[in-house]
Amino acid sequence: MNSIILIGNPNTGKTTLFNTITGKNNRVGNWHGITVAEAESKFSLAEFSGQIVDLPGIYSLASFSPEEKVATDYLFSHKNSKVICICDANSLRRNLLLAIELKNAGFFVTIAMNMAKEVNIDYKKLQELLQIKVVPIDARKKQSAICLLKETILVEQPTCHDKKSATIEQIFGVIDHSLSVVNYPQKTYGTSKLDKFFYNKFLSVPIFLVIMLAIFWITFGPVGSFLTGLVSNAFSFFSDRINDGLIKISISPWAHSLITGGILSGVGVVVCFLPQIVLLNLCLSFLEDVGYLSRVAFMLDGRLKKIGLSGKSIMSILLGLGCTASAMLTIRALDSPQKRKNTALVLPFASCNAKLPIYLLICSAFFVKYKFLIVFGLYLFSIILGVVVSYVASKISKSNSEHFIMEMPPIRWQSPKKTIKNALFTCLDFLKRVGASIILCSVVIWVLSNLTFSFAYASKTEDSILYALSHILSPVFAPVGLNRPTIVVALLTGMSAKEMVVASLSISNGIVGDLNALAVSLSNPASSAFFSPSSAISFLMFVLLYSPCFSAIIVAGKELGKKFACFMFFFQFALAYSISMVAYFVSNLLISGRWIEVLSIAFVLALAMLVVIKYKRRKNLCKACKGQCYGAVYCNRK
Amino acid sequence: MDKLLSDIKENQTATISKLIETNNAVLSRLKEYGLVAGEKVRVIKIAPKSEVYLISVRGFALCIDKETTKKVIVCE
Repeated sequence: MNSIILIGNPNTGKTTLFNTITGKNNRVGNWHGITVAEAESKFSLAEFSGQIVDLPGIYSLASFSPEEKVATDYLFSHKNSKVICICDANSLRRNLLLAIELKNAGFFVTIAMNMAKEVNIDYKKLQELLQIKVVPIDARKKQSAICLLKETILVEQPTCHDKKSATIEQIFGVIDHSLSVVNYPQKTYGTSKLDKFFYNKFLSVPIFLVIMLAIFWITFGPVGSFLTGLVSNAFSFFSDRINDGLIKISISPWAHSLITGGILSGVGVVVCFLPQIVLLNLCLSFLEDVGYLSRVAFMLDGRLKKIGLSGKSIMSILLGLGCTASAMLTIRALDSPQKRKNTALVLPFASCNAKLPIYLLICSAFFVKYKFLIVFGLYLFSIILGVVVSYVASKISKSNSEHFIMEMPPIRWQSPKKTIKNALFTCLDFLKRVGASIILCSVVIWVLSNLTFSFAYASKTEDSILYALSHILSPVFAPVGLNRPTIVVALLTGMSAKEMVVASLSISNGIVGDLNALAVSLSNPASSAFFSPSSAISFLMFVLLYSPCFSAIIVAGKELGKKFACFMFFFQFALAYSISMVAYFVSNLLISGRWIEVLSIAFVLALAMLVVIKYKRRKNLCKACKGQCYGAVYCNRK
Repeated sequence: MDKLLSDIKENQTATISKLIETNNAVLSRLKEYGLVAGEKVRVIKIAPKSEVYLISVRGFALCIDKETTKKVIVCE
């Protein structure tokens, strides 16, 4: 069987070519380290078939970060595979290094010259000079992928098998010589007009905030709500039809209840939020593809360093707004283990889009007028908490490795076709998740909330298994104001996937795909999942902060060790519990109009904080200037 | 005249003459990015506060923190 390995510098189009050959849709973007683990797949294109592997991008064979180690380890354990080294024709002066190193190490290399049309040089001549087969391609086109496979698989390669050793300096010499023979245009890195703003000392941070605010406005503001309303209407129309159909064929009442009250109710409430989740993901991937995130990383590195993070963390954290589990994978691209741990700790504070339905549901039940503000406030609050946590963590464990080396991609506009494709695949991915886990969980919850211990149909909620189970747990949640059994169950099922929180609320309230009815029932004291305004606030806080879903924790365990993952799990739980307890207490006081108590508590807290800060400063007194620098770590007079 | 890369100001160009021996991982990383002797580099931008250097080398841009730029000796 033909086995092919794709390798190349980061951001040259390996995954694009991989997707073209295999017909898959793996994530690509304008940032290095999108692919962090090897992706294997079978392919059959035209008359060729076999197995192809996409590896994370590397610059040379001397790797040192974990995701690059994945690539080199794989290469050296599969020495008989054919290697396609992808080079971007626009940056050959750097890309060819890897190809020549591969040849020197004795691999069967073919160079796939991506975007060859953009640079007009004699590739045949280059092939002769380098003694490596060069195939000009366009990674997005099937035709050129077939051509590449033909050259790689059928043609016996003129690669030399004896190993050579050359230093990087020598190889660069060879590259420069060959490129000057073929008259390769000497390009200098150009900065675009936008870069003037992005790199501006004063404007960069405000621009970042405005962009984030705009994203939130699009997602949670009128656009998102309008689309959600549309989907909600469509879904309730379909579920009505299904309901009618079920009545017509007269199936047994419990099966009817399972389908409508369990599956349709659980799935419906999650599907309604699909448009908003897609919007958020689109905005984030747009920022990344354009290359804006790298600019943010560059400008914010100094500020992030102070709280123990690196500029590169911003990428993982913003991805965390999409999905914590997949963002947890990208922390591999960070340079030091300490930074990786800190970033992993902060990640759950970027609340993932599966939690979004919960905020929107609670807000539309209690805070209709201030929906956008409250959601934005929640996100802001969690970011502030994340900063504090990371700062404390970095103080506890002192890190010393401070290297920050990162490539800055040029600004590259995204084609509308890719945007649409991206949106479609986000939808598909989301529906797949709904299809698998949400349906299963919905059925489980329905069974628990409708059957008794003897598996008979429970006529009253009080008889169900669920009620009995959560009865044991509800005293634990009483101090945070969430002692209703259904709410406790919703929170617990949220551990499997955060979408399940709303689904489970909807099932236990017996509402099928109607958001408004669900929102109304949440504020109705007679319903089983009733929230008072203060417990709603405490619920929001708890959901915002409690530990991420199991898949994220499992990823964290794989990346950083089981001990760390366990710590993360309990830490998040404890934090969520204490913060929502405070929120419950304070909002109770506020609602009952006892402002004076609240103000005095705030005053005492502020005083305590001042004392702590003062004490800390005195402790750090520096000897050089006898403390006139107020404990600044780097005193000027030293 | 020999200088460190960290002394180069925005929009100035310099030629690398040597890398100071430092820990292996960083050195090999700098080399594979194209920071080898004889290579021309231009400082595009220095980020405020953090002092991360954005430099252009071999036709692309690279961010390097100040500590690491002190490992690169250049001449103007």
